[in-house]
Amino acid sequence: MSAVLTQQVAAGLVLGSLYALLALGLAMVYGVLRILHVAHAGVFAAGAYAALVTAPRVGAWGGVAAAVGVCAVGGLFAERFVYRPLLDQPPLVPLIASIGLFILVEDLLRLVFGPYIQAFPIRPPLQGLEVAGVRLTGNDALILATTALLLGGLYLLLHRTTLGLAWRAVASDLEVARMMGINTNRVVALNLAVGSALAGIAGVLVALYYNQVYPTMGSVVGYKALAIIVLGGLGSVLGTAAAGLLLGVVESLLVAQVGFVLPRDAIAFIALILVLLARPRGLVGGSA
Amino acid sequence: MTGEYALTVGVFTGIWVLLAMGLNLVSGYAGQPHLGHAALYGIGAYASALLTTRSGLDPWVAIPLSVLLASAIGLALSAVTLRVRDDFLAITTMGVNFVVVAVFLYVPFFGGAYGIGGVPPPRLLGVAFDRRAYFALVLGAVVLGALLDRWILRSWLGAGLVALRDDELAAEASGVDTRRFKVVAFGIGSGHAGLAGALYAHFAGFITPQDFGFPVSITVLCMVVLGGIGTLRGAVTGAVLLSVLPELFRFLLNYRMLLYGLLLVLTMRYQPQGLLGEGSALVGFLRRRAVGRPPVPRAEEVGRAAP
Amino acid sequence: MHVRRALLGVVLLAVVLQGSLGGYAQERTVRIGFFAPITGPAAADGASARQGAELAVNEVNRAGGAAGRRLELIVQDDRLNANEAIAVSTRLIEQDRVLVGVSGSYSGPTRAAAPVWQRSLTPLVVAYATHPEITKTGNYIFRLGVLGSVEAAAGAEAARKLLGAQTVVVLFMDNDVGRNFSASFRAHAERIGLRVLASEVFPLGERDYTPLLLKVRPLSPDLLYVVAYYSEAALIARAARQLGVRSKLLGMQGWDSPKFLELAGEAAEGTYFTTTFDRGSTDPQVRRFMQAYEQPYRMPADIVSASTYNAIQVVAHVLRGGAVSKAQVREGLARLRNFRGILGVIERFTPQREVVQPVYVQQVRAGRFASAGAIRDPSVIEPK
Repeated sequence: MSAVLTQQVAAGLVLGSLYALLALGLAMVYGVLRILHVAHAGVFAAGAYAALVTAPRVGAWGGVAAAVGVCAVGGLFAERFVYRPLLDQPPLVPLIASIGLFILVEDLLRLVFGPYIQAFPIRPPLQGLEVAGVRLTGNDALILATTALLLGGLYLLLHRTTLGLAWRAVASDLEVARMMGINTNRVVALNLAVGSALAGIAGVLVALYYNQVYPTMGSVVGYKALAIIVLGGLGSVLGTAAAGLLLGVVESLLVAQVGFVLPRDAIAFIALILVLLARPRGLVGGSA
Repeated sequence: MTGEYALTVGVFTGIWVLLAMGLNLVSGYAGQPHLGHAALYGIGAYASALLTTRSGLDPWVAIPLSVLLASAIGLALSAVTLRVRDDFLAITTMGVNFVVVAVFLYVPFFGGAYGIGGVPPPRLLGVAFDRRAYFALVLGAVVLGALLDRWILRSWLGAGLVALRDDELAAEASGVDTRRFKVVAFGIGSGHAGLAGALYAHFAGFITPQDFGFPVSITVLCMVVLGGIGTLRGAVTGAVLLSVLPELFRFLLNYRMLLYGLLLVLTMRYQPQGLLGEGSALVGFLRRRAVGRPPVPRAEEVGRAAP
Repeated sequence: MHVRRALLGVVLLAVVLQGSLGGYAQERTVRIGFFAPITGPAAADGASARQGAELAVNEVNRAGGAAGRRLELIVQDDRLNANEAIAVSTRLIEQDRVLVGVSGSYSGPTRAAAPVWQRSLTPLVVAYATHPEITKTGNYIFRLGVLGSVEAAAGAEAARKLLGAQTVVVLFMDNDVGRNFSASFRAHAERIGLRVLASEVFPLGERDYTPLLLKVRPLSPDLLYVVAYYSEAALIARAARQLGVRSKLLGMQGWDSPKFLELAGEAAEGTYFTTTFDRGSTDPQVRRFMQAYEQPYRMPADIVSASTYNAIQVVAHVLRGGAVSKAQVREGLARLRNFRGILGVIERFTPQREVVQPVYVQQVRAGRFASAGAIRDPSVIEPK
């Protein structure tokens, strides 16, 4: 592969990592609740703001912790007060509630922090490096490393711990899992918390990468994340991660080779439509 | 709210009502989660705009043609996406919305980012429609649409749709051709959207791709669900509420969206069937008022009532 | 019972008095209708627009008003939606009975709303929207912002004559502003012998410019002409710096915001852009505006706030000239001559109601905007 192509693929992987991290939380929520957690994008933005506000005082890691904390709490709140009471309703109901929540969060962020785009003050802890002829900035390396670690951690959690087992049981069938004695409420709550925490980390990384934090930053990636989880098979963690990474690479290559014939969002959705027509159950059909 | 302003708001409200009625057929009755309604709205608008500005057709011809086109595309879309189910379908329709807007934006034929301007208002006896006349036109369209929908819902199609909504599996088991119903509902619903689009184009005189983006689909869905999904009265009420209230609450300027989000969350949480949906508190209240409270038997009557 | 009636009487009396007092105040108050995207995706510019207008109104009122009449600014939110712009314009004209309107919004909503103002024969001053069709709506619509085609031509002039570039690559955002600017830039470049090597479009809201810049880097142009809003411009500047692109960067008024400096960081240093707001101006009026804005709003002014401030000042100027009715305001605008505003001297409005004024070039030096020349050649700045 030529150097330029490798560079483009690398750039695509970095972007794809961001997509994957954000979409993962969404996939996890869908897995257990069968709800399209549109408000996830709002949680993501809130995480970025949490870091923005705390990092100057408690340092970079403090900022990340704040983001994770705020998002986890946000996710728990949504689950307890919005989604849990609506589990028996037809799917449109929690969807609209989620949309309402998203609008609410976005506008709250605007009212509290102002509509302006703000720079993100954290300096990346890693230095730029060169790997196999590809130049990676500190941010790039951080994103790739973080994503790899988190994905690995998540996989271990899902497949090597009892919590993960309970998780997969609930995702497979909530009722049956409950009858088998699993505390489904606790499992679901933890699921939301972890998924939202991932969004918080994604928020910090995105803010770092583009040096921009603004109230509507969730909308930009949020819609695409929905496409990604469908591509990944709706609920499959592995599928979602793969879909996110793949989309990042495909987008970058397409843009680099052909130019912007269509906006990136449209690319994601065209890919989605094409894949679904061929395989109505997504790339990695079924749950995992 | 005074004269011209009220008429303007009235026209836009009527357009929203048409959109909501159409979506109600698709999502409320056929039960198909549809997040791309605005795409058909845009197709109707662009079709009518192009037919009148580029091909010089009269709006009275262009508008019905646009409705037919939107219906046809809706039918085709539905037929193609039949295999895709539920949550997949929701996001697929969302994708369709994005793709359609992208096409309007990037394909030069549609005017690109500049949009299409100079869309003429309809004329009657040589005189261009003013706001009053336009309001009458939109009102007429809404009434026609409502009559059509009621007729549909009372027909075999309606029975099939209700069966479909309540329990798709059971409906199929009972021999209902669910696929055909879904597709037809989608087609008719899309026709409503197309009409709304054409009416919008000729009223505003100027359309851009952003006028038909995904947020518009979401707004219409919120209207339908808020009002009471699966009911005609719910769709109409939801549309009227969510288009008129923001106008009345303009003095809140900064907090409108916040309240909007809150309204959605609270309504779904406490009245998930919608404000006027089946079994909602409001409907129960209104029904009780209409019927009158059950009479309290007086002493003599009790005695006399004994068999 | 009697108490209630008495109270009702008092309330009615108060309302009646208020009404008549209001009526009296009406003659001594001029209502200016103002719409901007206060909430929604462009809320940042909406806030700037509103603040600029409010600052101007307050200043005029503190100085005793315009010809003794107080200005009242009535602000409405169009949420960047065409249909809301139509609705609020109708409301401003009919319900709030404004004498004149100012658009603090983008091209889309302004263009949709313009026919409403024209039909009701209420003058509308467009602060910064650039769509060419807006003024064609009718003779009551005046535009203060420099026309996109004019600014882009000035950009080409600046590239060639001030910055000495021979070859250019154009990067432009995919909306009406982007396409308008890039087309006009290329047309003028051709006229003055500036070679455009390539033109690349990118979608609005695009975040990742690495692939795009990797594509144009091998062409080694002397200059990159970037038609983008400040957040995208900042990303482009950063990516260009990161990828070692050596070309000079020239933008347009979309860059004009202190946010550009904040978001681009060191990558902003040495970049240029055209605008009508000259930070390095020696005109004391400009310095006063910059200080007066930064104090209450705690951020430096940008082109949006400067434009709406300017628009209000123009309206006040026309009112001082004695205009009382809508038709008179329109006349006053049409006959405006050599008005010294904070965006430079407005020579006049053309018969098509476009403004004729110089275009300034700014450069980022030591983290601030500084003057880097101006384009005054009438053949360039005169709108065609």
